[in-house]
Amino acid sequence: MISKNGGRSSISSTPSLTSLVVSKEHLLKVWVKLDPSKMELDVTNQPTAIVYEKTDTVDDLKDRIFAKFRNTRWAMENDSFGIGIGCLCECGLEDNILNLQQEQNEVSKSDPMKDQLLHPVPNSAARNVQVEFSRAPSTSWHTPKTCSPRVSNLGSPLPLHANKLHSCTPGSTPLAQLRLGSKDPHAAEPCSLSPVKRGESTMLSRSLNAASVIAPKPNDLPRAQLHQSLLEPDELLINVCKILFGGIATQKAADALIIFSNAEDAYIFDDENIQNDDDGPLIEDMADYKLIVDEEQLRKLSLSNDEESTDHKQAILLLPRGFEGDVNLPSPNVISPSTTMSTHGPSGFTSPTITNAPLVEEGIGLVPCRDPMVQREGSPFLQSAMEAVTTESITRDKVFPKINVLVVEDNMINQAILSSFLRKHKISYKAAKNGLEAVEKWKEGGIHLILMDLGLPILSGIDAAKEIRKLEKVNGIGTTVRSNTGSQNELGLEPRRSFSSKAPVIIVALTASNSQSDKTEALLAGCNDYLTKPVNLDWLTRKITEWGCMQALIDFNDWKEANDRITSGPDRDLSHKVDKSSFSEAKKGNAKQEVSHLSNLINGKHR
Amino acid sequence: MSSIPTPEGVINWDTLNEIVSMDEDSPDFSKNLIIQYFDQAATTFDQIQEELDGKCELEQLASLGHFLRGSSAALGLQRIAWACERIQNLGRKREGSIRGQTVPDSHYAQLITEALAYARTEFIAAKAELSAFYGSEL
Repeated sequence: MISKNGGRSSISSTPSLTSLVVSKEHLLKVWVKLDPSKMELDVTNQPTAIVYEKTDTVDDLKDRIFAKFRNTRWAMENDSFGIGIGCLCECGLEDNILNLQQEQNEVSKSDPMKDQLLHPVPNSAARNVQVEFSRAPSTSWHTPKTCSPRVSNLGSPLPLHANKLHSCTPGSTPLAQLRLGSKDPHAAEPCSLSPVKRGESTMLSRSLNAASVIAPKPNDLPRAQLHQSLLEPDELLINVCKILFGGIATQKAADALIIFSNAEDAYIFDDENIQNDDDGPLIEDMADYKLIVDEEQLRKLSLSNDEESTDHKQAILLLPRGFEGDVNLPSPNVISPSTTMSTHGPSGFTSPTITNAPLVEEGIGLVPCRDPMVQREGSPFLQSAMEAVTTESITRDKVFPKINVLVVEDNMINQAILSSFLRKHKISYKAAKNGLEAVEKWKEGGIHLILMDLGLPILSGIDAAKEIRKLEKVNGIGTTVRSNTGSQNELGLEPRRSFSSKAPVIIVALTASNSQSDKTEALLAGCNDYLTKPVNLDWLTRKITEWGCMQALIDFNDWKEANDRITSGPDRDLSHKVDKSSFSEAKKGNAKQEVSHLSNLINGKHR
Repeated sequence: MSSIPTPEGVINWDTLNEIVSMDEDSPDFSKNLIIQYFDQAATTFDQIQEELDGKCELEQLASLGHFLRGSSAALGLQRIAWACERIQNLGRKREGSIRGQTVPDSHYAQLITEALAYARTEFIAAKAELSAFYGSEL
């Protein structure tokens, strides 16, 4: 919340300091209060005195207000771009326009009407006109939707822009005409909203250097209509006070300036306005109001209230597109009861805070958004569709990891079944009939996964698993750096051919019974996993995929080398170092494939 | 004999169909496998009988039971597998004991003989059913 005038304003300056600098008699103070029309009836809304410095502008006042109410809910829900300081003005000059909406003419300033009318003041020529009426004469209000009209409307970051905006409707009100006619900013007496000055107030003139709107004499304008008048953010606060209240110390609490807030703004427009609004149907804006449900989000967004912020961009991108063209689209899902002001209907004001709201998933999913980014990231529908594809085609057939499996089965029937299964899925395998043979085949190297029957003759599966783990330890596989580089290992085997993988082999036990003791025994012997016989081929598929992918990820290079050796024969073994670079591309592709597949597995999506 | 109930059908077709589905890649794969199995089963039954008649080593009987059980289960011949499991467990004295008594090995051998008889019966039933399935005498 750094105002553009932040350089000379100082939130942290203390009152005592201020008084020294500014005035002998008084601290400079201005009474402010929240817009009473937005308040719940039962909420007290006391005017508050804000101490300011001589050089403070209206924008600085905003900062001071936020500083003062730093820890309140109000401060969290609003930001300096979303509020405007001003007053309610009974300006009868606009009667011809205002009559339609006029409902309560007699309401006094201290008890303003609920139905505020917002009148942007068309003042293309006005350098010094401070007043910004908020009522949008239909479309002009929403015109610059791509560049955050809500911000510019309040003039804080882009006052010039705001003026341009207003100039879109020159002469739309008599008020504007009058203003344009007036030239000397200081010549005319300001319209005062203060009872003190009411009697003296003259016809509205754009001269009001600080004053906002001008409330002509009540007698002159019996049908005077209350409406918001915002002070120009650049205006010196001290001047505002002087002009509005006749002096820097004459403001009374009852005349408090009003803090208009956009955040929860909710004015009722007539139907015509809504229908005429081509740019962003108001009802849809309202739907977006509901997206923020917790104050934490709000505050965060307020802090990053920056044109460049990604949140902001996202919001602007998403808002109109998803909803465009159909007023009746807004889904009930995004309406949350937390938006207390929504009962007032749509508003011409839409806060930047609100448009910054992160989109909830339902919000995106329900709306046929044309933004491909959103579709890719946001739509749950799309996601599930993609998952279906992945599950169906990829998991089953295409992405079996290229691993070498050792099937250890003494029963030829089972051996045949498993072998046939592996062959069918183009997984290379070796077979062993007993534990001893299993250990020997494992020593030959290149095995990633062993399917080990436990009830084996000669050397049982349990003992074979223990033996393999022991040898792995001796040879430093899976523990530290390979230890067999220095000399021949104790088995007298040629190192790389024997233990080509740094990763320990995965042993999946095939337990004949479902008993827990068998499983425990298997795991204790060093098996990583188990399958209960009869082996369900679906489960076998899963195990091979899971463990195979794991192996591939654990030690990709060795896996790749071994894989290469198997596909190309032993000669390749000698040359594989040479053309390592040539298949680095393939590596990447494969790794990607495996990783994506693994993520499927982790998410439990495959069958 | 055992707390584990006898399976309902002679053949668990869920399991066998998995094997049969592999015929797509290699025709008659399942049929040849079944034929191979029947050979194996007949041989194993004879070995069990020999053992019962000969040394009657329970551990060896259990091993034979385990062996045939594996292939039987893999092919979905669940009743034979069930009988083999009995033989295996009896051979390891994991079932069939009488509480509070020390029973001689002959007690287990007797029970194994009964289980083997049951297995042979189921073997015949399975052969009949599968012969019908393949439309040829197996």
